Amino acid sequence: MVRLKSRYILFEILYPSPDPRFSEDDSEPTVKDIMLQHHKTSPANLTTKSIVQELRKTLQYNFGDYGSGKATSLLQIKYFSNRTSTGIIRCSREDYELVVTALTLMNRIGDFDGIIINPVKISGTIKKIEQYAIRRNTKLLRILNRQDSVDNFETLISEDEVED
Amino acid sequence: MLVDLNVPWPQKSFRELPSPQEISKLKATLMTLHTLGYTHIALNFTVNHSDKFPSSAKDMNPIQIKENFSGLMKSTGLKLYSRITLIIDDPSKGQSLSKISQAFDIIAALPISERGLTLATANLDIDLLTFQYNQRLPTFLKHKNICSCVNRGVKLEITYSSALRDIQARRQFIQNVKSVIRSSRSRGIVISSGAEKSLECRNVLGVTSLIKQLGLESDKCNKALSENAALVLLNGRLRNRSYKQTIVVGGGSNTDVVNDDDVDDLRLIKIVKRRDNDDVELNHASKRQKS
Amino acid sequence: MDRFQPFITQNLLTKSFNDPTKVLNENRLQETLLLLPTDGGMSSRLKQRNRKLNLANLEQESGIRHPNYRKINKNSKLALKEFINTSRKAITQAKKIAHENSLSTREELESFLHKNNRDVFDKLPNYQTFLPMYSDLWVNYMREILNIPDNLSCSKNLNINGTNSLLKLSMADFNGSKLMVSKSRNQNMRGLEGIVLWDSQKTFIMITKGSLTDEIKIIPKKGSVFNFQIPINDDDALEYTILGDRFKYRSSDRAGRKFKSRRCDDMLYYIER
Repeated sequence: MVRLKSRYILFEILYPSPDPRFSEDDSEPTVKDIMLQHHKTSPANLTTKSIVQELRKTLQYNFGDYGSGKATSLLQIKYFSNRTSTGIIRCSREDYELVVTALTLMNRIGDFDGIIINPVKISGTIKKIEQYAIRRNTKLLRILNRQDSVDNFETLISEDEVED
Repeated sequence: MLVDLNVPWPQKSFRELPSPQEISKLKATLMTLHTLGYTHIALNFTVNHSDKFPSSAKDMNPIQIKENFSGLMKSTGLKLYSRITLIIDDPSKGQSLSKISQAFDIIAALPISERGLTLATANLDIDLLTFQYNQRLPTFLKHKNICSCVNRGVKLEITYSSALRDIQARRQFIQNVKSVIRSSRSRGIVISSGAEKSLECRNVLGVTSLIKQLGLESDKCNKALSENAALVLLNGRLRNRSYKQTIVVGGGSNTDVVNDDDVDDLRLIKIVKRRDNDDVELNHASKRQKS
Repeated sequence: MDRFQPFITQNLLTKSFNDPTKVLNENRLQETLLLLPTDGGMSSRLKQRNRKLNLANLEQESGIRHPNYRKINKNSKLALKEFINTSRKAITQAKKIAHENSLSTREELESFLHKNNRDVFDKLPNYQTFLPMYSDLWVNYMREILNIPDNLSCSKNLNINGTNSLLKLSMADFNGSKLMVSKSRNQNMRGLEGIVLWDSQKTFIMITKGSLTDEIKIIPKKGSVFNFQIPINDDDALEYTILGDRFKYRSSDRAGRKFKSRRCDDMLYYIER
C-alpha cells in the first residue's frame, strides 16, 4: 500500500500600491520601505475560506471541470496568518502545478483587489516548508534591522510613516 | 540573477513625454519586481520602425534612467537597462539600425506582417524577437525561419502579462506561446513580464508553472528567466561597449560589462583608480621623456 | 617441341656471357614448381595502410598552418620553450626545497637557495626583471597609440575618442602588458595577475608574482576574460577588458583582421556570479 502523497505550497499575499506614497516627497524609498509596503497585514475578513473559494473558482474558470476536479480532490489550506499574510496549501502531488498556476492567475480574493498571490516554495513535507517559512521570515527581519543600523536618518522617517 | 527584459516605458512616440504620474507608476512596478526578487530590469520603449527618429544621438534615447531612477537603483541594487522595440510592418520604410543601436542597450523587433518577420529573422542585427501575445501572430511560424534566427543568437521573447488580463487575451496568449515554443523547438526562449501595472508582476515559481503548462520544460523556463535573458543583456551591451566583441570598455575585477555602471557612455571610456601604484613609476617614465 | 627446349636453355635460362652453351648455376632455376605458403596478402595491405597513414600525417601538418603563417625563427621559439621548461623545473625544485627545509617566506628561501643551491637560484624567473617590459615599454606604447598626453593633472580633462581607441586596442600588441584574469570558467585562474611574456595564438604566457617564487603560467585564452589598466596619471587609469574567446589570434595576425560579432552563448561564465 502506497501512502497518499501530497505537495505543500507556501504562498504570500503582496499588496503593491498602484501609486507609491514616496513620489510626493523627494526622498528615495529604501529597501525597508519597499518591503513594508508590500508585506502588509491582511484584513480580518480575508479568511481561509475565502481563499479556498477563490482558488476553486479560478481553477474552474481556467481549467474547466476536468482541471478543477483533478486539482480540488485534496485541496486544503493548512495554515493562513492574517498578520504575516502567508499561508500553506496542501494539494495532491500530481496536480500541484495546476494549483500554482491558478495562484499565479488569481488577482483578487473575494472583494479584495490589488493583490498579488505569490507562490514562494513547494515542498513534499509540511515540516520542511515550515522551516523554510521561518528561515525566510528571519531573513526578511534581518534586512529590516540591518537598514536600521546603516542609515539612521532615513529609517527614522520611515518609522514615523509606519506608525501613521 | 533574475532578469525581466520588458517593463514598458510609458511613452508612445518621441514627441510625447511621460507625465510624472506615469513615472511614479513605473517606479511602483519596479519596486514590486524588486520585491519578487528580480535584479536586472530593462525598460522597454516601443516605437514604429517607419516613424521619424530624431537626428541627434542625444535625443534618440528618451529613457532617462539616471535622472529618474538613480536613487531607486542605489537603494535597492536594481540594474536598469534601456530597450527599444521596433514594430516592423513594411520593411522598405524602415531605416538602418546602426544609429539607433548606439543609444539603447537592447534592440528588439516586433514584426506585425509576414514580410516584417522575414526581415527580422534574416537580416536585422537585433537581440530579441518578440510578438504581440494578445493578438494573432502575423503568420504561421516556421521552424526554418525561427531556428535560423535562434542560431544567430537572437532570442525569442514571451511576455506573460497578457495572460493575466482578460479571457480573450489569455486564449490568444496560450495559442501564440504554443506556436512559439513549437517553432523554436524550445530553444533560445526568454520570458519577461511586460507589466504595465505592478499587479501584473509574478515571481519565478508562478511564471515557471504557467509556462510549463504550455509545454516548455521547467529547466528551460528557469533558464529563460535568468541565463538566456542575461545573454541578451550581454549581447546588447557588447555591441556598444566593445569593438566587435574583442576589447570591452571597463569591466573591472569584480564586475562585468552587464553590471558595470561607471562607464562614461558618451566618451566610451572608463576611468578608475589605479590598482598598481607600487609597480609602475609613471612619473619616472614621463620625467625621462621631458628631460 | 624439341626445337624449343634448347632455345629456352640457351637464351632464356642462361645469361650469355662468353659461352652460351654453358648454363649459369643460378638459384632461380629449379627443377620443380614449388608452392610457397603466403600471408594472404597481409604484407601488401600493411604497406598500403602505412602509406595512407603517412599521407594523412602530411596533410594534417600542412592543414594546421595558417595561410600567411610567417616562419618564426626556430631558434627563438626553442629558446622560449627552453626558458619556460627550465624555469618551471627550477620553481618546482625551489618549492620542494622550501618544503623540506620548512622555509615559509620568500626572503628565507632566496637566501637559502643563494647559499646552497646556486644553480636553482640562477634559473628561477624573476618578476622584477620583466617589469621594465611593462612599465617602460608597454605603458608608453599604449599611451602613444591612445594619444594620452604626458602630464595630465586631472583625469576628467582627458579627451580621447573611445570608439577609435577600442579599434586601436584590438590591433595592439599585448606582449609585455599586465593582465589580470577577472572571470574564468576555471575558478582557480580567477585573480591571477602577471606580465605577458608571449602572446601566442591560443594562450598568454605570463609571469606572475607568487608568495614563494615568481611563477610562469600559461593561460589559455579560451574561457577567460582578461582585465587591464592603462595608467593616465598617478591616481587614475583607463580600464579595459579582453574577451579571450574572441581574441584567439596572434598579434601579427590580428592587425589586419576583420573581427565579427558572433552569438555569445559561450560566454555565460562572464556574467554568472
